[in-house]
Amino acid sequence: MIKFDGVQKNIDRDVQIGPLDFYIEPGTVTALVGNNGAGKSTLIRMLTGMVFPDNGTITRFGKSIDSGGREDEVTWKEQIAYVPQTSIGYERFSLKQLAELHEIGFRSWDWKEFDRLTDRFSLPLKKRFDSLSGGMQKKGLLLLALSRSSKFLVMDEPLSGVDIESQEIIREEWVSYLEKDPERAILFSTHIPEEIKGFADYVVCMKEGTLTGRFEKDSLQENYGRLWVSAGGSVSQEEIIRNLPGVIDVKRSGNNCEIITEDLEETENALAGKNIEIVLQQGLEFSEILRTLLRNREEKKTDEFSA
Amino acid sequence: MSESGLLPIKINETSRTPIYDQIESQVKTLIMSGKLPAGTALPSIRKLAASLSCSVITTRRAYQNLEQHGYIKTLQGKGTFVAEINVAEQDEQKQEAVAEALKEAARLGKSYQYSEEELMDWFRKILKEENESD
Repeated sequence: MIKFDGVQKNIDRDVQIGPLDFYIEPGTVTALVGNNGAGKSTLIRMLTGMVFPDNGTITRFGKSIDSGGREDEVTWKEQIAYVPQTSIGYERFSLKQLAELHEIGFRSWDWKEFDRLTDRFSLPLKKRFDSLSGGMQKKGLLLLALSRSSKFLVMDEPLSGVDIESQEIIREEWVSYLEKDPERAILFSTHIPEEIKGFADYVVCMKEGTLTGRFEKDSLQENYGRLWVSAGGSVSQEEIIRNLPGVIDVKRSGNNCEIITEDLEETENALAGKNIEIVLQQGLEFSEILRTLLRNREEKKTDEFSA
Repeated sequence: MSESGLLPIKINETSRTPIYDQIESQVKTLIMSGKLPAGTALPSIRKLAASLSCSVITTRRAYQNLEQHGYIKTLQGKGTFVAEINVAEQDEQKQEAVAEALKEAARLGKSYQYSEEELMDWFRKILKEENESD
């Protein structure tokens, strides 16, 4: 339903985002991860039409718009609900006033849904937005996005600063958003592994302006693992293990080696082929997998080329 | 749409058994043991995924397999429900479930290098304890 083809954006002389190739399927939840400055917000802002790409094509709901093209904006903007990272521009307005502005801007604005959600999130209607806490502002932004009908909910760090009880409510609202229409999808950026673990189907990684991978969350957990083997006591042995398929990290302790692999089956087969005995095998914590994904992928690739 | 509760399922993330497989066999057990009688509404794939912290790809796969084997039925626009199961198949499934659990125990025991006698003694002891606690 959403597709990026070679999308590029020059931020300044030193920072370039892209080329990005990327897609979203209906019925799915995608988490966008990456370190600060990786380009997540720029990707989201291009997706939601807040900024225009310098190159490439963005296709939304079957309609493609080349860089700079602004046709048909009204139609697809109705279908995308966007929760920005901050509420810049909203400071002087109350939630009620913001809702009235949204009613003018969007045909599918739904006051009944707005009332239900303000009640559920217990948000004040008449207070200035900038007098609310960060977490309450976040809830307010989400509420505005959910109070109209859309096909694609895009959120930039939607849960940051939100209290635990509200996080639970928000997750329930996300589930019912998706359940109401199988053609809907969600994309959100985050730095919190538990948020990805708890809600995403796919993880998309970004690093220094480019996308470094798209993974199905559960297959990550099935493929990554930690193995202890009774070998690798010498530097040369360790080197052999390091170069086995799937292996991304090796730590030596005495006569044993601790291996981190991104392809458990391949590595196990390779170890068996070298007659190396596996002493213990363990799964990885999801946060550990994510750290590895964000840190190691590029280095690993260069290793492969030089090997 | 009828409201459906969540399922008493527990995922072991460090297990070698894929998550969809774990869901499938636990739902099967719940159905076979009568804890989920025919006609019970099951949670949507999205709800189940959210409650188990897994992806919809996984829950969809588990439901598809269960449906293929006749345990559950999806009615367009209404949701997913536990199907009627015949008794002969039920027996077969019970045996299969127990055999699977024993196999898993045997695998684990052997991987830690326990001998056959040790494992058998252990099993008898556990059986005795279970009988006493009943």
